[in-house]
Amino acid sequence: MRPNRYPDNAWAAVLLAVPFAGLVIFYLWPLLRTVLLSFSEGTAFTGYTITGFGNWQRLFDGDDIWRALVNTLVYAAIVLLGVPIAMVVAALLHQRGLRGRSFYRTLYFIPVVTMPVAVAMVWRYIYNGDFGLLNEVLDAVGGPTRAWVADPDTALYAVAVVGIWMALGTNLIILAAGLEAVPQTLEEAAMLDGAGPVRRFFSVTVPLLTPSIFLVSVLSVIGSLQMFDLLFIMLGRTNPALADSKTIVYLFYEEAFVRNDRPLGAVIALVTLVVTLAVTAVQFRLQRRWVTYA
Amino acid sequence: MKSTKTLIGLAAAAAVLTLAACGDNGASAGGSDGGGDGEEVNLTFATFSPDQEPAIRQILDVFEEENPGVTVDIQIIPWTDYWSTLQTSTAGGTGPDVAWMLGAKIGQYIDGGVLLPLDDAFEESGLDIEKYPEQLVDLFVDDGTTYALPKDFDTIGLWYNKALFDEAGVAYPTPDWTWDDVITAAKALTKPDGSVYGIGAPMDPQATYYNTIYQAGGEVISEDGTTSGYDSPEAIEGITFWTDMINVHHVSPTLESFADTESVAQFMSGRLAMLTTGSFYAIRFANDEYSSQNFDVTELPGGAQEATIINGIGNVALASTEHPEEAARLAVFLSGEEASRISSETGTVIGSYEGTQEAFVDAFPQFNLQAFLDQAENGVVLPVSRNTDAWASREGEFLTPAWTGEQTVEEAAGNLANAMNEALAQE
Repeated sequence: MRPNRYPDNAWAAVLLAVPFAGLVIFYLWPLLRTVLLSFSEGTAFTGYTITGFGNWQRLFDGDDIWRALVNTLVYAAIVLLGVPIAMVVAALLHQRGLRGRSFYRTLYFIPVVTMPVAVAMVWRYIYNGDFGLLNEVLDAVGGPTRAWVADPDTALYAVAVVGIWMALGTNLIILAAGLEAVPQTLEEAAMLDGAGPVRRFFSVTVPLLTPSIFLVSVLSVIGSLQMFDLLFIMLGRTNPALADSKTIVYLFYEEAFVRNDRPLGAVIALVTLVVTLAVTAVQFRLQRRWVTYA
Repeated sequence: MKSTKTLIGLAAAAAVLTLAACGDNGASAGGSDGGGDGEEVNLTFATFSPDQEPAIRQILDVFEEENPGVTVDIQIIPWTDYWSTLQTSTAGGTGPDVAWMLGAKIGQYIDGGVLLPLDDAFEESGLDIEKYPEQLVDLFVDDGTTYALPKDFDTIGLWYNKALFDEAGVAYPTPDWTWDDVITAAKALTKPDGSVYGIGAPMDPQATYYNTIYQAGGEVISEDGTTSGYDSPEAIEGITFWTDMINVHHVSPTLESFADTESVAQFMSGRLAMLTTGSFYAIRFANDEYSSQNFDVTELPGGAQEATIINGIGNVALASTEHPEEAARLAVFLSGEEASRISSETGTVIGSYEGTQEAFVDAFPQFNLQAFLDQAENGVVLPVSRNTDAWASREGEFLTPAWTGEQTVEEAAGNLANAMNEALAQE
């Protein structure tokens, strides 16, 4: 046993204790409080007393939560389509000899560093049914025009498109980093074996990129399951499409902060947690089939 | 690469936890300074209107002058955060000393026992309770105790675009117009190409359908605040007036259109010839060149009877303050004669204290703002109950199918009445 082993451990413990304390104070303690709140009744002023499963029953007896769950999962599924899109863009940007690569990367990253509210406002104008840019364009080419974010048939999809566009930058950066890590030698070996660029991409690059693809997918789904801001800004509260587009977190906001029903809000927050954990667990389970850890 | 997997797992866990932690919120807002009994007293006053800040500062300057040793800081909390911040900070004892309050919200604060009674401070101020609009005073009185006094009021009027009326050769609206006059004019004003609509029929309770429900002789909530009035024939008639504008007469843009571009913005861009909305928009219209030149306003058209929704903001003192005496005095002062006069003169809002209101009319001579004052006597106070938000937040959800024409008004209003009665039963 070397003499400096314990001091090292002690230091590690001290350094780990700080973030751990943060985790306990800012995540675990509030989480515990949320669990307690979900079984309570009362208001912020009168205080909350634990009464049992009433709030849970109230939530699952109603239609709202089921509709919100379906909407949220549909939204997450659509935004997941952004991952292959990001892969294609990343591969294109990774081509050898491409000029202005950092320029393009910056361009794709701009939506990520822009405030979601500002993004949503701009897209609202694009989607506007009366004066919107999208309808102008569609009108010119004879396509169908409509009030994209006020029509219950299209609102959720219209918002999801913005979700994909906003996430593209982050996805791209992670995938680009993954691409950099693909050893040149393997590509060259495949080339010597006579593989064309498309074959090389699918047989060499993609398998080695799977850990990055997996990470991007998991983060994308988690982000989508917690979507609120785009919906809040792009639809607004008297939108006829709201009922058919409401996500779980939007429902959480309505119950907890508009109707002041904090206990019911706590239930919804916990449902979101469970759903997110479940979906993520499924993803982790499935990854064994397709993710290659080199 | 086991470590990559672990990292992904950690990242996922952190992302998942973020939201769950939101449920138990710990919002806090700046509070009062500690150290009580000395000469220096510092109070915090919370409001949600940046537009009114200049007028408020002016009022506070007068207060500080009259009360040496007391200073007041304004804390502006945006509307979207105002109520949750005020509620949590007050419940946590770190709230402001004095704050803006609405009739729709005060019930919960009174039940929670977090407000200071203002009766003594009011008596001391020498103000006359008779000089306030009675309906609004009642909003803030519970069991004979006054918790706030209205600092201002607003009513709804019929705004119209003179240029569009001239173009169509239609006579301007007058105070004696009826519902039918509005419909006839709206038809004449609507252009077939869809560039101009006769009137805006947004699903906006305070500006549109609450008014017509009461004009039809109906009510949103029963007098005692225990049952919904939405399923009465009169209420249905009041709502139908608006849904017909869209679905039968085709003289208003659709609800979808209002979701994309809010009604006031459509009105200000010359797409609507008429819009019923509040006196609180006078300042915005006056500051816009097109609106200032072309808009004017008159009283709402009458149905079976005359009615306009009246609402006002009150000032409350919070029981958690360390300086109850000064806080109560400030709350009363902010709703007093001097404050009312400054509010009116700056054209900010209609001051609530009788005798100070003419100044508001004079502030923007291009509009006939007298119409808002004349209607106050027919004012029906914005309907409230102990927990107004519990049902008011569902109105839009249930009435949407009536506005889009998917359900009859009877059906939609009936469903809303059921949901509202359920919410009221829990109060």
